[in-house]
Amino acid sequence: MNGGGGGVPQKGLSPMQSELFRQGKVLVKDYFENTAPLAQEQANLATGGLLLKGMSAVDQALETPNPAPGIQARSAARYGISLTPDQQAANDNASALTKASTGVMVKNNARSSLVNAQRGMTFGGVAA
Amino acid sequence: MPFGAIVGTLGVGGTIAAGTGIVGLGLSAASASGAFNGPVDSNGPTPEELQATKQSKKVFEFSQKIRKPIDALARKDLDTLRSPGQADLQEGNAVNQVMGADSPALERTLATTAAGSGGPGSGRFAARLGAAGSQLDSDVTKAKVGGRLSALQEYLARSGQYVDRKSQDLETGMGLVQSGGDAAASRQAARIGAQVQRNIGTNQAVGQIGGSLMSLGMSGLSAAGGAGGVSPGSETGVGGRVVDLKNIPSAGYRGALSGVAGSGQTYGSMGNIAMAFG
Repeated sequence: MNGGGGGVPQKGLSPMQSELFRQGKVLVKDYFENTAPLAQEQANLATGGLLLKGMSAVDQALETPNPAPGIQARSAARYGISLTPDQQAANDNASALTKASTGVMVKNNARSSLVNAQRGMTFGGVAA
Repeated sequence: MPFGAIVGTLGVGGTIAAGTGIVGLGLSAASASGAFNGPVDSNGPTPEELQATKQSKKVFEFSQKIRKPIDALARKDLDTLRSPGQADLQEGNAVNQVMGADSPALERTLATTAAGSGGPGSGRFAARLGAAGSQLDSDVTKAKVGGRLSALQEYLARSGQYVDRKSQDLETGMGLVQSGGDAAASRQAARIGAQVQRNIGTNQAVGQIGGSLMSLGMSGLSAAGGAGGVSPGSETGVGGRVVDLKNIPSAGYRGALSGVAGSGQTYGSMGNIAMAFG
């Protein structure tokens, strides 16, 4: 055993310890500046934000113009179709029904998916 | 950012990372072979401590050089994914995909129906056109929603990977600092104890830096490899995300979204970090 310095108190940090401490400070600074805000955002999403954000994305998608009716109209024009008023009314009704039911179905599925994803994030530890 | 620029930057980052990984290995090997042996001086740093400091500094500076461009790229990528423009783009892509598949099918059906239904003037043909139009409308609506949710999901997954990697970095780094602090506290004991024990501690510290750089190097390579497409473990990967839009309203999509939770598991490590600070 080499007992040299056994009773000598250490003065300050050794060069290696200082360097490690400096590196630690750099890492912590980087974490709080670049990563913590993102982690906070994830935690917020896991506790309700994802459902909110997801459903607003769904609403946005439902509100933007749908190019499909344009295709339908162009096809009708191409084949020289002119509908009688009854046919037109029936067509409009069918379209409105399709649109409404699709909207409901999509919203229900999206809501369910988002809730499941949120639950997964919570149990995964994001919001813990 | 142009795709070429992303690939270019990633390529450089990956190469540096690989190179430094080798440096890390070299240091580990040097320390493991007992290169830091030296006499004990009670009043100052030992030669091996000084040597280790120099190496530690060098390796850390290397790691910062590698980290910065990759992190900057990853953050830029996340910002892009988070932007409303990206959601619009994914919605547009999804709609194009459906229209590309459905429009020709609609045309074919109409042509067939026209031939066998008394022509475009017939009521049957009009009904067929209406039904096809409704179907197309429904498909497009699903695709639009799917595109936007897909953008959200991609952002979640990549930001989760980013936070995960940074948390791991911090945890590893703080572990290193912590062991350095432990070394300070037990320095006297170590000096009274066995020289060989202290060497083991030093070797491990340097080895850990090398090891952490190795993994960083590998993540750099992974990022470079991910440039061609979305690959797990690479939040910097760019490229087309192909979603089966037909399945969006089905349970299958729910599973896909739930998959995001996988990235959430990494936050367990953040709890550990908080404890380390405490």
